[in-house]
Amino acid sequence: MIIFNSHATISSTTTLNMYRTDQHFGMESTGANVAKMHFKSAVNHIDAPDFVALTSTNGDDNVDQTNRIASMDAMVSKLNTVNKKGFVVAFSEIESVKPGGILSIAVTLDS
Amino acid sequence: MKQPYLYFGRKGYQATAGIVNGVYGALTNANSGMLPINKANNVLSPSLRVLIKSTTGVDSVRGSVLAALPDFVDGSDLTAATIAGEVVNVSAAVKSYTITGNDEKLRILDVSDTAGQTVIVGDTIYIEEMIFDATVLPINTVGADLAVPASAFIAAEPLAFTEGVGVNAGLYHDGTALDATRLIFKSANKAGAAVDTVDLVHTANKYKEVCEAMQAICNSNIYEDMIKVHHLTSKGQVLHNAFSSRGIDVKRCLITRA
Repeated sequence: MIIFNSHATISSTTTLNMYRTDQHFGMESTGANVAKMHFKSAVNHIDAPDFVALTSTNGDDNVDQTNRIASMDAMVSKLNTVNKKGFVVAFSEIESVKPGGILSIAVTLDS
Repeated sequence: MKQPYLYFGRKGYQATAGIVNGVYGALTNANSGMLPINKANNVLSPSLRVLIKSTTGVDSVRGSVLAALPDFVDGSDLTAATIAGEVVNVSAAVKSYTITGNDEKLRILDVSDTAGQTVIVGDTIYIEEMIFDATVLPINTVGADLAVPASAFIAAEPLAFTEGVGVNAGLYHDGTALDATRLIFKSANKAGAAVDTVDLVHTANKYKEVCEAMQAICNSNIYEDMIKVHHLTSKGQVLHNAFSSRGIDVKRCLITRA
């Protein structure tokens, strides 16, 4: 299990989300300094995943590429962390867990 | 479950027949794996390499700027007349071609300009993306790259590859034979029946070696980072050793998302 906490205040459905690491479909670049992770939708829709947008530092095109890859690398490490006693914190605004140069995340449900 | 993740970045390539008026068909993600942006006639493209390979000797069809260049493959002197097998690097001359109107169509000058060459339909034009640069898209939107878990890998299958004309069909500009293989993955953003594909144009007769490379990568114990199978950087191509050590060069990496 993996946890994404995107906001300092947990107040809505996209501020703290848990997913199964074995239901992570993949990642890709979707913006200059944004890469996205796709998980099986929390409402179990076949063709509409939930996604987590990973925003890293914005620079020139080459810096952006390096940062996007670093953010995806960091998530691979998290996805492959085995913690049988609890969940893995991929990113946490509250606990300031921000691996791979990721500045912020945003979770979108059923997209 | 721990598993490796495979990372693919796009690389564009197309070999196509010469067009006498110099206006080529639009490059698309589907036909070449690239979308070049506009190019004016006073700049060199940092990434796109455009070569003309002649198949027949024709007098007075090459402008003086191109005739002053060495043959791109063997370094021999070129002249205004073409000789079968000669390769000229059109993209080495600043104004030799343009792309305008956001139509992704190369317009190569003919011999009426010193930086042009009049081609025949039997000639082959090689258009290849060499480095990661914003002049050839996409670089950071869907289709630019793909990271998938090894468990998403479904299958590999050969594809026909015959781009090029006549004696150059299926050959790289230097005469190296090329084949293509499709790698098929469960979609990176969908459950159900959708698949994403990565089509590699690569050194010929390496189907089995591509399968071996994929097996080696998928069975590896790399869990802390994505395995960079293929992508371009500002310095050039990155190709995983599992491929290069098996004698596989990759000329095109075409990513098709579900």
